[in-house]
Amino acid sequence: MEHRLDGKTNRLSLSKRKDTWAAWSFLVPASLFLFVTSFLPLLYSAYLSFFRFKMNLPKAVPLFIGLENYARVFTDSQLATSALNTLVFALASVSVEMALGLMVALAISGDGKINRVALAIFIVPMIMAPVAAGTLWRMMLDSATGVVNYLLSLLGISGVSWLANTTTAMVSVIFVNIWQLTPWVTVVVAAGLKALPQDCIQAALVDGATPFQVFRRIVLPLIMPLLTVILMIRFIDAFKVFDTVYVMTGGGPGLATEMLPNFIYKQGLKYFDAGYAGAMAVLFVLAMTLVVLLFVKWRSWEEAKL
Amino acid sequence: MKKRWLPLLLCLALLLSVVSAASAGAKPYDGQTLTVLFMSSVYADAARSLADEFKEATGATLEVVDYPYITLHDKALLDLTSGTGSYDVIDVACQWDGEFAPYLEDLGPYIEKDQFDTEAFIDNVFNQAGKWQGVIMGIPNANTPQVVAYRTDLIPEGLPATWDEYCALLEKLNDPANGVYGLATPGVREQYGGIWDSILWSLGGAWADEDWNIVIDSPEARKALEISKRQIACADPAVLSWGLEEAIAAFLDGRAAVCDAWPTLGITKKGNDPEQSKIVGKWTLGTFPYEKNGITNLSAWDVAINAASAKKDLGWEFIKMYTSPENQQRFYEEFYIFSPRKAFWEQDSMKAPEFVTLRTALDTALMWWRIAASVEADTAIGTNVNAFLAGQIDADTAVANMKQGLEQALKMNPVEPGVKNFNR
Amino acid sequence: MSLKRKYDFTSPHGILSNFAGRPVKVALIVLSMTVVLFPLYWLVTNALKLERDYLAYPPVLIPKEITFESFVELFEKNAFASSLATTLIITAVTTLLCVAIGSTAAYTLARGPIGRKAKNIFGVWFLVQKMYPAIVTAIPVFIVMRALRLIDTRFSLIIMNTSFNLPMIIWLMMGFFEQLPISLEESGMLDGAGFYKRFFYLILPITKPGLISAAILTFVATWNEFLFSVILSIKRTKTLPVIIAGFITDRGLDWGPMAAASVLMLVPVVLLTFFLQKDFVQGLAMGAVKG
Repeated sequence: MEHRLDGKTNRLSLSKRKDTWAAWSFLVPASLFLFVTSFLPLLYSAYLSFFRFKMNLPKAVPLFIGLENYARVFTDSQLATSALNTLVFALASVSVEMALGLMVALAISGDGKINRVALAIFIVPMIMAPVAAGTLWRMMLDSATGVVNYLLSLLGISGVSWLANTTTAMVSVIFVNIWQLTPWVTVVVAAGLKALPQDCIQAALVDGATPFQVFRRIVLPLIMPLLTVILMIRFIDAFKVFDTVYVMTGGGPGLATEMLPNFIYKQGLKYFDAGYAGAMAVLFVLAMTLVVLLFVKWRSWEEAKL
Repeated sequence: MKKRWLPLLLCLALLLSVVSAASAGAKPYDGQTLTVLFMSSVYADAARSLADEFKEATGATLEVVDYPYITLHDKALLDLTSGTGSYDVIDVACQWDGEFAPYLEDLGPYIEKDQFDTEAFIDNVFNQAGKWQGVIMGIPNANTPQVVAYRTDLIPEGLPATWDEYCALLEKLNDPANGVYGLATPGVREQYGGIWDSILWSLGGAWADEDWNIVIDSPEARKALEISKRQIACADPAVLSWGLEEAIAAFLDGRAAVCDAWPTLGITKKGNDPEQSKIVGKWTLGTFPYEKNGITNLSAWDVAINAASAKKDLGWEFIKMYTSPENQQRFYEEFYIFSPRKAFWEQDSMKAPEFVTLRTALDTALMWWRIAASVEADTAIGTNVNAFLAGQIDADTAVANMKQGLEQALKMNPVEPGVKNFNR
Repeated sequence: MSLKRKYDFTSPHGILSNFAGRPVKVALIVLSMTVVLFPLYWLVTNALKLERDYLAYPPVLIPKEITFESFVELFEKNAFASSLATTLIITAVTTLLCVAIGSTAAYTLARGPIGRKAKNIFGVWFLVQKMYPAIVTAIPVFIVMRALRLIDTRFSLIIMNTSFNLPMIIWLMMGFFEQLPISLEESGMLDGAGFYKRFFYLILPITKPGLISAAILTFVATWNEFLFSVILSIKRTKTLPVIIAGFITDRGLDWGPMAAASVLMLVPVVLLTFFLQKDFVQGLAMGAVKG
């Protein structure tokens, strides 16, 4: 190569420069688009967070109030409740999704017809719009005419007011999330399982290992990096929950199912308090970034182990 | 040949011009569309029923957009503050009058021009729905005090005048084993707040005094919470997640003795229809216990014109039509919407005892705050009452939270100087 | 000895599925299929039931009569047709836009002759963008759209939906591009093909599955998008999710039309993922692998 470069330096370096320009021309549209539509609004949010700006008052002029909005974030008991609710929601849904998803992925990991049909069916809940899923389950959990209570009554269990009781409302919302997203975990893990190297497994079998041992000693460590990523994605996504809660409980009863996105939405677009919503947005992003960094560290640690 | 065609053509041309002149004169707004925003259910349905008449009179098409109460406020405010003018006419719930007023058109000039009779409306209602700080920004078109629907076969003697007796009555009638509860109520936090307010006010309590000092931390508030708790104990456990629809359906199904879910939004229409009700002929309307002052919650709506609309004149035509005595009468007959016109209540058909009670209540009924802070304030009340009833917090915490919520609402939405609190 | 066990060892996956014994495997499969299928069955039957059936208690598990009146009611009373059209337009344009500018950006980040540092910076930036919830930009976007008088326009929704999906698409396509052998591009370079030529004639044809996955994922995400649709729409651009949510908050007991709307909303995405299942799954997996 060097000789060729020697002889044809000028032409190659010219085309190299043309290539670089071309490459940048590919990158610029997306970057510009995201910068304007996603990054700038975030900066604007941060800017507004230092002001009191009520958008519904006609002659609203932003009033500089320094860190007052941030102080309010830490003393707002309703915000604290919704943050806690969201955390509980995320932890509960994700742990069940991961465990169940993994087990079901293992169970359908063959190439048989049943497994392929099962996979196709599992795709439906996860492509359903969360509002549609929330609506469907609200219909089924209705305490008077819902089919869930009816089926329970056939088993001798009396009707439960799913969405009117503080505990069961939370359980219901978590359940719908699990219902929709365990399939996602299943599908992705199943794809990951398909890509596993067969020789380790064969060797272990020859050595007389039980399936469970094969799973624990060989399969699990191999798919740990994948599981870590899935865990991170699901955990972060759980904090974005908005649609299902909006449709199923609106945050009630009381504040039992009030989640962070719903709370921020209310502050910003019901009470039109742009400053407070901005402060919450900034803190939310910072918290999420921290979580992501932790997960990335964990994942590279897992990969290093392999 | 040409000679014969020419006069014929001339006649035809003359005829056409006469016809077009006549039709042009009769339809000044030909080809235009007026977009109006109403709350879903009877109010929007009534608006839709005007479409043909509107087209006849003005040549314009009527487009009715509706949203449920909970999102109606947000959607209307979204349009008003963005100056998009998507809605030309908006039916404003009177508690939003203060918040929306800056974006609505002053109707004074229109009233002048057409000599619109503003004295024809019940004063108490007009003062709270349509008039804001001396300016008329909306014409009241629907009103009802918080009333109760109850079973005449179970409560033949009528409703008592004190809350203690009322609760005792509910407890007596509460018979879950036989599928009948004492009370059916919309317990969801966006609705129940209003009912609780009626209890609070009739006990003599209030959110704030005339100068906006918060006085909710009071024995009346605690008593009102207790009363609510007693009542909810006599209702279906699922009641805390029920909206208006569920509560009304339960009552029509015969599963409750009393229902306080704005009966005019469903019970009055379906109550005596055998297809939709199991309690035909066995119910009537009554009011909440008088207790100290008989003050109850007022629900009133006023139609207003969006200041950013391009069709204000056309909007005014619509308002006149929607609030005209004839249409208001028809709305009552078809949709059971009570009119705020004095003459409406003076008819013979409205002289039955239950209607007289309603009319009297309309003279004292109150809405909660009408300033911009009202949405946050109402939410603070509703959420905390709901949380208390769900057992999440105790009475002291609830009252403390409500106080804090109201103070916060006022802080974030400062009252314009000179505006006094004429409500509660 | 151990080879005589009843486990199907010709397929290692047979081993995996029996990881806790056969009864557990069967139970898992049966349970999960029931929990997924029953609600879907309920949804479809409710869309087809007579009004007295869907309001009935005890609930009618197997309807004796079916009707399409719920569907008809949707189109007559709810302007469903226009909402369908609006959602379709927004989704289609967003998908095209995302795939177009997303895949090109991804190619540069994967194989473009720009510095390592630049690639890292952009890569990390896109990754972080993927992470935060839509709500954090909702208010500023609302303020700006309001100032630009773009509230209630399809344009604003297309812009915002593209914005959400771009980071994911970029990372997805990066994964696909990185899988391609470098020799392909090297031979292209040797033949004197420039950057553009290499991309359009060599790379693109082979990464069609990747593009299809990207398109499907964007389509589904935009079709189901709710938050910004609710914020930025007033009356002209009510998308399907907004219509469905509208049912719940007001006509709480109109189960039939609600179910019908959900069913109609499901049909396009189910068809899409059914016929292109392999690409869809591959897209999901790639998205997870690339993290």
